[in-house]
Amino acid sequence: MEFRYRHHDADHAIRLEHQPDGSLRAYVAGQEHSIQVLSSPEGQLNLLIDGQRVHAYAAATRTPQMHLDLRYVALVDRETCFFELEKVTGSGRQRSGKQAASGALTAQMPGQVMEVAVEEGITVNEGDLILLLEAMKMEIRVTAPLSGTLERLNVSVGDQVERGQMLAEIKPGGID
Amino acid sequence: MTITRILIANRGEIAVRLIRACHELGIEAVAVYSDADANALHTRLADEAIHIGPSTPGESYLRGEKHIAAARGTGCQAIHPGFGFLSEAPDFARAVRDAGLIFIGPSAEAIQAMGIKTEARALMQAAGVPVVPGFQAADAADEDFLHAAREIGYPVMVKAAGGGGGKGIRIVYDADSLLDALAGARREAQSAFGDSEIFLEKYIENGRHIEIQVLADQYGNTVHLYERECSIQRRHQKIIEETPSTIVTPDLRDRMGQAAVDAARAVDYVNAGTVEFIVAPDRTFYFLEMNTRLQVEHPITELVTGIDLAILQIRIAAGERLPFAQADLAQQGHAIECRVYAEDPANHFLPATGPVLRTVEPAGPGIRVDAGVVTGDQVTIHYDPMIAKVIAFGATRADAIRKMDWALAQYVILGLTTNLQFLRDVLKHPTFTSGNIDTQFIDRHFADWAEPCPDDLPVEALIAAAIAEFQSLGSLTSGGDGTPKGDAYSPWSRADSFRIGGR
Repeated sequence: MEFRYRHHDADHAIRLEHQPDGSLRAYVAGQEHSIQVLSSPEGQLNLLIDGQRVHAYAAATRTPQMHLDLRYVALVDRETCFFELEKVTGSGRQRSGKQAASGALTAQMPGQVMEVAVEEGITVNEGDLILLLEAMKMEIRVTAPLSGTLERLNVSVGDQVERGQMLAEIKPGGID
Repeated sequence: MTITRILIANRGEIAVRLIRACHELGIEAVAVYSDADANALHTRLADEAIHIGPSTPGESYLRGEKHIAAARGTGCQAIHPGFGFLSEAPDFARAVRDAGLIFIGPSAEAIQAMGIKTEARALMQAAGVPVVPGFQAADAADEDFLHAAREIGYPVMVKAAGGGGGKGIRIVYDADSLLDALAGARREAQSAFGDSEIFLEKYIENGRHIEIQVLADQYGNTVHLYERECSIQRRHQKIIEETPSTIVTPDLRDRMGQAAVDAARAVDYVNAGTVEFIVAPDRTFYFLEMNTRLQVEHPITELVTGIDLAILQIRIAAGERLPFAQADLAQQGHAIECRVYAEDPANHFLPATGPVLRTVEPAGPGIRVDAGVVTGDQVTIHYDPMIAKVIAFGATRADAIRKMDWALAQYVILGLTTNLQFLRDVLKHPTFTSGNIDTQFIDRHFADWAEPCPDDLPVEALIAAAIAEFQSLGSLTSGGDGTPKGDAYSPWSRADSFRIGGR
């Protein structure tokens, strides 16, 4: 079985194969790894990867607004590390990352839209207030990253948004 | 009045703590919950849970009349306000009392007296408690402030009289910046507290925020339970607290303790409270404010004194005498608390939300976890970002730090970003381990913190993700929308029912 995940804007592919002896083999970036699942109770994975013990937790969710398929992995050791992966499928929408166009305004944090200061079609200057986002008593001002025309406004007052969700799009352009 | 049922007018970690305290005493606990908290831990742990409204605090947890109605409707004799929300609202304390219920805390008058910061300062001065050199006068003109600031000596802090909790504070380093700061502070104070009155305090550079826990019964017995060092703060929000403080000598402890007791007596304080001081590098100390409620960081005091403050709060409210005098108290060992926040330190500490897909709390000798969330809960945008507290207790400070590092490394929280890694880094910093900390510590050393975990995805993590995926597909019953629902994975889209009244 093949799976693809995105992590920090890099895509990773992995292929798993069942072996006749009950173990698994994983193929990642041209490397082969032998895996034994020692136990896997309740979201825990106790694995032997290439002879080394690996203790991990894994969980999955689909985000409510953007419908992203997220996978969370914790590698528990002296230094526990957490990873958030996005499952890449053909049809899934991906979280807007660095590939987003320069005029795209995405939510820097999850929150609720408290105020919208603009309308579609108006001219905005760099630094103009577009909307106010609030979460956990913290308010951030979402401002225009450049001057141009506000081509699309994707949210209205009261909407709850996820981090990375597209709020508005500005078509860069000179001011008449 | 015998207390058999208490309404906990709060949520999250403190509500869980208080429900457990009630149960230890054989008292039933009634929880209140908003829409977002229908399946929260505190809702599930209580004997009865009453729905009090939409998720927005203003329509639920901040509605005093709803708490009172819920208490009366379920036969409670008392209400515990927790911290935050209405715990320091004198009108709420008054309304509870007028409704014939016991408010587990001080009197409305004491809350009011300490609530207006300028009044509290004046009261303290009259009681002989040292206050930060400052200036306050109703309707003072800008020229008066300029003159006062020159007398006090820069730098000064401009603060809101009606505020607290770190809001509306500006530090001014010279006369040129004062006028703008006054105008800005007035604006912020008006919008945050509905009161534009401001005052000045000398800014104690390299000061330490050290507070004293006090406890008083209804018979005039007042004691202090030593200090808590709370200087590890970010934007005036506490992150790590510890006791004892590395700068407090036995003599200073006695003097600060006495000052705190004097402060409490000045307002006929009853129940648990905390007197906050700022301690200058030369060990002079000044009153900052009094928090007329149980505080977030109370566990560290509990661990070094062996005293359960929540239980004592209930006993005091029920009319019992303090079971000890000052001379009976002793402090032993060292305790540290780390606040676990649902935030992303690598994203400017902005809030993080998400389903709590899995938590595994650390457990071991000297480790205590006061958590408000467990597996299956949801962290939303509506409330405070603090989701848990990890407390470590050791014989020495070094022991406590070691245990805390271990505990934080073991704590697994999947489904949202937290500051667990950040906390570990702070604890490892040589300035922290030396104990030579002050309120500027975080700003000075952690302004541009970056995640220590590898940016590259370790192959082990990728393999774990794939195997979990593989297993979930193996024991598959597909949901209606095609999402796999297996053992290892269960997508967060449960539509659980919530209880209304009764179990």
